[in-house]
Amino acid sequence: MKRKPRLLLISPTATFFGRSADHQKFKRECREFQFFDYTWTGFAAGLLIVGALTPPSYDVRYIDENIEPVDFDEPADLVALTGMTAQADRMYEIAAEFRSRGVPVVAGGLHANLLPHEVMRHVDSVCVGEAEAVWPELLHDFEQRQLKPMYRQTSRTDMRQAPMPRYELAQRRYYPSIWVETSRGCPHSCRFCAATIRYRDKLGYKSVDEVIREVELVRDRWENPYILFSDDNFVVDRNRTRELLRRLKPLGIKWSGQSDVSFYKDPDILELMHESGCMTMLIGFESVSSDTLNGIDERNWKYRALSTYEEATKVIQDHGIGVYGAFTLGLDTDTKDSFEATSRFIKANYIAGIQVSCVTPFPGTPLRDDMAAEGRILEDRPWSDYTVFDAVFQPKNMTPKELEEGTLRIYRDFYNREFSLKKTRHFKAIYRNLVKKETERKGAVAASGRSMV
Amino acid sequence: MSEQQLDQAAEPVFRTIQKVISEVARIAPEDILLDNAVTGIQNVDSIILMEIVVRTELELDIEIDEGELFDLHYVRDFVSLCQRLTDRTT
Repeated sequence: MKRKPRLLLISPTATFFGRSADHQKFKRECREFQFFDYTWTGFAAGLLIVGALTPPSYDVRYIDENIEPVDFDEPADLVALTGMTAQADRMYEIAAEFRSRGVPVVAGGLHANLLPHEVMRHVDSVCVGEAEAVWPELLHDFEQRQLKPMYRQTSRTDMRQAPMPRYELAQRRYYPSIWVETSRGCPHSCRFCAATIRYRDKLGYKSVDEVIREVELVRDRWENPYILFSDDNFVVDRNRTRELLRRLKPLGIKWSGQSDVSFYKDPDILELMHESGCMTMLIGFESVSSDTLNGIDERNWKYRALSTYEEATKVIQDHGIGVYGAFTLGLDTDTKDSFEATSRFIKANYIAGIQVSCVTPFPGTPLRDDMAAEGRILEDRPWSDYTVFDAVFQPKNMTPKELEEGTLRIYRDFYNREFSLKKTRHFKAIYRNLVKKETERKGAVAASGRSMV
Repeated sequence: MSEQQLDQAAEPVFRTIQKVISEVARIAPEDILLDNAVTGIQNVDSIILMEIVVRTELELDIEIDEGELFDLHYVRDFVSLCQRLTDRTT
């Protein structure tokens, strides 16, 4: 019997956190930091979408090199790679190994979208755009042995028609969190954001029915999954968000998402988030300096939002939702004092978790154009240093080393026993309050024999 | 439960904790073992842990000093801590 063509979907090794010895030592030794790693590790969702777009006439295998090694001698007819910029060097090594064995290799994902012509030199075909728009044509050409060097998306993907990712491909492996996508794109165009470049003017949504079907499937496939909604901004369309949260409530999941700070003004959404099992929201504060935020995004939205950061954090966390604050340091208005100012803000507001990164001039971003024009890109730094925790450019008011050390100092200030104890007391008081309220509400319902509206 | 058995007196405390973790983290009670690492229980991150602590306090009518939470490595440690506090209040 004729064997099915074999497609390998490979996610190359990535370094979580900075590559410096100090970063890695901190990651290894700090007990309080382990939660972060645990919560934010997941599979390469794009490859599972490619899997879903591949007909059943193919034998498809998903390999996550962060979990298992790649066997280059494994039978394969086609290899598809994905990766962020920090994975690019490894992506090229994997491509070279398979191509030397005569196996065609194609690549997509964030880095391929940012630098398609560079990626094209290392693979047989590069995919630019969303998988739904290019993969069927690529597969057709592969079957005709006529792969083109580049497949570029020409029309927007209708997310309502997007297939459900083939979650079963990743099911055998242990992932602490499962990514589910409900939308793509973000209304804010921050100067350093590579994701926004990718989905420029393409804010697309899956239908709520489809999202619920996916969550139910994930819940059935993984026991007690912790779901991470991968949307760049989970709360853009408030009416849709409300409907989605209402529908998530009875599913009994725990989840986290990412957004800007604006939803703190919406009590309905806050309550629905808590009731539907939201544990944390990653919020892109970026900076606590008005100078730095001024001009950081096209509409100056974050600059105007700065005055709300403290109130917003308090309101969100008082609803039992931990705020994971994302901060970016090293922009031209940042000085050595910025680290201390950021740390003060984080601690004064008892932020639940942090992601403090060195601003990174990703290819294709306006930030990189400016820095390249000024000769400030450190050309000797490989793509694998583009972790967002390693400094890959010459900052204006400090050395690259000082930038790396400054961001790591904020982590040390935050993830230690003394501050964790303070934070624990803070959150315990919040939860005690919430649990008491819930108990009272349940008591009142039981006493009245009907549901209180 | 676990290879190593608990003191008989701690058995009800463990059952209560099992019930709380099960409800909060949405894990089957039989999957919560004494030898589970506190960070390794599926779905239990630091925020969820707070809810577990607060609900356990209410269920057992005890107050846990936050500082003691940092010395917990296994569910067994949490059970022992709660048992000690329960003994103190009765």
